[in-house]
Amino acid sequence: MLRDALKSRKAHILLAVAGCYIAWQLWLTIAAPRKIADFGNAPEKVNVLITLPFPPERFHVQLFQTYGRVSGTQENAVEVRGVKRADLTTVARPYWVTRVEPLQPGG
Amino acid sequence: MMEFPLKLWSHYVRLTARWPSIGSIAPFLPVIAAWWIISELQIFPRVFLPGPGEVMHSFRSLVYTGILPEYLQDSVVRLAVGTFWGVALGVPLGILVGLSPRAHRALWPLLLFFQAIGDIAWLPILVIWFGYGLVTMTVVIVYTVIFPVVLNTVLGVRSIPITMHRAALSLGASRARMVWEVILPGALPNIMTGLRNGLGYGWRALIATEIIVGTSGIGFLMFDARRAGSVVEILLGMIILGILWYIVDSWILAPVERATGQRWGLVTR
Repeated sequence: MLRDALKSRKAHILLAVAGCYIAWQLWLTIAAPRKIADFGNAPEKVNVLITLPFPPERFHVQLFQTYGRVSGTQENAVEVRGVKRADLTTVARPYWVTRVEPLQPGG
Repeated sequence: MMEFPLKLWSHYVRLTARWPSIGSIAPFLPVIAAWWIISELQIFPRVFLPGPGEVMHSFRSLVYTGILPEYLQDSVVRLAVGTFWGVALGVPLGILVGLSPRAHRALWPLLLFFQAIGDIAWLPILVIWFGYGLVTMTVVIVYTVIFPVVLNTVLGVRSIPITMHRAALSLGASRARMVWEVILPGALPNIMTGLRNGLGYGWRALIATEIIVGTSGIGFLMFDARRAGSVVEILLGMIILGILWYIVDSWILAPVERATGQRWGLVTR
């Protein structure tokens, strides 16, 4: 029964879509650390500036609030304070995040 | 003069013979054309009825900003979790009620009673108990999926010919083997029917729940768009719901339902 189902063209398309989705997720995981700037010997929690390719909307601000305190937005960036260093890769993972860097003092 | 339409038609027939799925797109073409013409003629103001082009633009924009993939993923995950628990609880319960007259006497009236209470009717109390979160949504979906699964499983178990039971018993099958090798496969076509119905209801319940208690998901996207007066996003949400359900139902559930029916001799090719 399963063999018959897997032989159909629809099953092939669905499997191809699932394969592409997994490959895309893998790529996001691999690409995430490259978006993070060098934080040097920063403490356990850091203040970060997350740059997007577009002005952030409510959705993006709400999402970053799960990782720290959003203290404001600049043109295409969101300031988030008190982000755990362990969460930086997760913050950088979405495809619409282009850069995660330390927030300059007074920024 | 008639040559071109005939050529076009023969090309279409050959194409759909090779790719039958294209045939299922064809009925939508007149609907999209009518929508496009009406919106272009501006019979209704553009704000109330945007055209297909604007909806496509909104789709691209929401994908670019990451909002649509995130919300879509949230909705699909919620449905998957709810369906998993609906099936995990519903199938054993259905087998129990179908096999045991005592369990049937005790549980059947309860099943019918609670089936009558709509899933959305539970929302006010669920919000008080579990708050505006994933638990509330999961409970609603499980509740919606479980009844069609249980009732169809009972029907499936009861429609297995008694000769099958007797044959298995006379061959020395234990109770567990009876359930695994006779009852469950025999009831599978009905279980699939129940699952197909349950998922359909569950999908609608999920959207309604997201509209009322959600903070993400396609239902939330549509309801949030209402606040901004963005008919484009509401239409986009509706189109996504339709396409997604079409794929799940006709590409996954219907073939499995057909295959189980054929496997157990209830349907022939």
